[in-house]
Amino acid sequence: MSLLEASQVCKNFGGLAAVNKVDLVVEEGEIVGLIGPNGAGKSTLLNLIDGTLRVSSGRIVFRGHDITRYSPHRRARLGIARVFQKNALFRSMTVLENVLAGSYLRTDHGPLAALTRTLDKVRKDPGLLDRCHELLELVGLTDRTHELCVNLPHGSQRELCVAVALASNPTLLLLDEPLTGMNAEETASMIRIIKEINRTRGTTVLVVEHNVRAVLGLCARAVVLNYGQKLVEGSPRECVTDPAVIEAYLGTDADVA
Amino acid sequence: MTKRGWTKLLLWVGLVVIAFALPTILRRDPYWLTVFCLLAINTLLVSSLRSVTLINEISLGQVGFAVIGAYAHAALMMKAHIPFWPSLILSSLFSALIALAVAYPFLKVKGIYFSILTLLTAETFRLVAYYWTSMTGGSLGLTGVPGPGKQQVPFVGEVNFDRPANYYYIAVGVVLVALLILYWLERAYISFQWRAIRDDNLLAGAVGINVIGYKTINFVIAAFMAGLSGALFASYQHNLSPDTTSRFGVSMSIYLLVYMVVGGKDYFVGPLMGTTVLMLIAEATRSSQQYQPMITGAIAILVILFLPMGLVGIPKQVRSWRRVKRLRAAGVDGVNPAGKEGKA
Repeated sequence: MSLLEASQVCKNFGGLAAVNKVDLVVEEGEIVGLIGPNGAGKSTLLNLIDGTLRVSSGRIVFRGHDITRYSPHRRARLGIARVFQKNALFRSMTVLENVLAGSYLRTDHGPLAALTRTLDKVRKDPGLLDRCHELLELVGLTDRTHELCVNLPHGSQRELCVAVALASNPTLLLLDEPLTGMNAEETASMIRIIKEINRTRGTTVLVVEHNVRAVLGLCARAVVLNYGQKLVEGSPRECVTDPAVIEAYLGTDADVA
Repeated sequence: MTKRGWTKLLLWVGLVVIAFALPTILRRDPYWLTVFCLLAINTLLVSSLRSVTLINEISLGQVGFAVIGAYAHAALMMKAHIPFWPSLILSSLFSALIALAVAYPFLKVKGIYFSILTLLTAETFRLVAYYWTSMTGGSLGLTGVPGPGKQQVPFVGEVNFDRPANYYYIAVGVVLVALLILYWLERAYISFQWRAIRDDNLLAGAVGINVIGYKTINFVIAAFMAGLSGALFASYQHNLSPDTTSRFGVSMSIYLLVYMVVGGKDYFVGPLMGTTVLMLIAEATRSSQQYQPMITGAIAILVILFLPMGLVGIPKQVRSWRRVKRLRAAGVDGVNPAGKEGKA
């Protein structure tokens, strides 16, 4: 059984089919790239998988559970984590607090525990703190633990986003353009982090990315979307040399003439 | 405990002592005691409003839940002949139950839409009270809402709590307990979930927090507190009127908001501070009643412009002004006092 199986997934916004009958299978332990021109429906597809949006039709199965109608927090409980395209962080919190908030599912949660336990007690839980520091070490933010997250530079914020998503110990990590706006050094560091997460934690990664070279280096398999439909699927190199993909990105000779 | 913690505790203890000493201090002036009694009741209502700001929403509907609490309390005591204390709790619970029933659609919307929805719902509740004549007395109002009556108090003997001077103890006592509960919630783990939701509700959902669930808990607790304040009011005033100009009208919702902002919405004691200062100013200027809204408005504008953190935030504000002055003297440009970030 595959980790994630999306079958015939559609999402319509009014008359526009943002995602149109897409089949997507992700196997446990792989890094899959999701590429395509702007407006191809990549982010929408991620939103459908993590529950931010509901499908118009189709079915999504994760670890044997039909999650098609699940809310985002229920999907998170099953092991889906998400890094959003914009730097979504808990803005009023420090770096460490962000990871603590991300660890919600790894704490004794549930409304009753939340009402009766003090926040200080949770903050001082040594096991929890160890896990948080471990994650901050992984993304290389140990020296900025107590800084407000909004004061970090863009690249570090992006890394913190990954740490927050990992804090719940997910099986599947959805990354929405993790490399946008990064310089070469930050890009290399982020790619290293993603690979390490995949290797040491066995986390499956589905990544939407524009940087084709990064996708080539990162993924064993890629899926190309165009106008909401799946164009090609295969090894990244096959994908980028496929005539249909080149046409989708650059147009045909006829367009030029 | 830190030095700051001790100072805080000392301030609270001082406040409680003063609150309970007031009836003795004001022996000759029972009128002022009724003012302080109403002040306590209003503080609870404003605190319930502040509680909702923890999930980043402005509720203009707290008055609506106070209406429910007040009329439920009156009905329970007058029609079902339930004693004061159980009725107080039951009517607050009823208010919370109504909040639970409407919570889902309310909390699906955000920002201005939430405010509009709560405001209109509060108006709807008021109008129900206005037109349901058989139950509420309608536009003529409901008179004769009983107070706690005579009750045995250990070490003191029988006390008639219907006398305003004695009802004061009940109102202040209940409000203090309610505030303690709200304070506990702000120290509890749940406050961290609320903060996460306030900061970014999409991300909160993505890390596994049941956003609607936690927002509902917040909203229901706030409605309970608003209902409690309404019930306390009913037994304090002994008569209720659902008129537009009554305390259940729209303008009251606006006043609650002003009390909160003037006091400082980021501070737990903000509502207490704002309500106290503005209500006492209103009392002091009672002779020129027609100018009262203007005076309140002017104070609100001045506070928002010059003290964006509210009256409780003054020490922090002063510190930050000093810091800015120091930095400017040292030749650092482009620094702004706290509370004005991003508005260079």
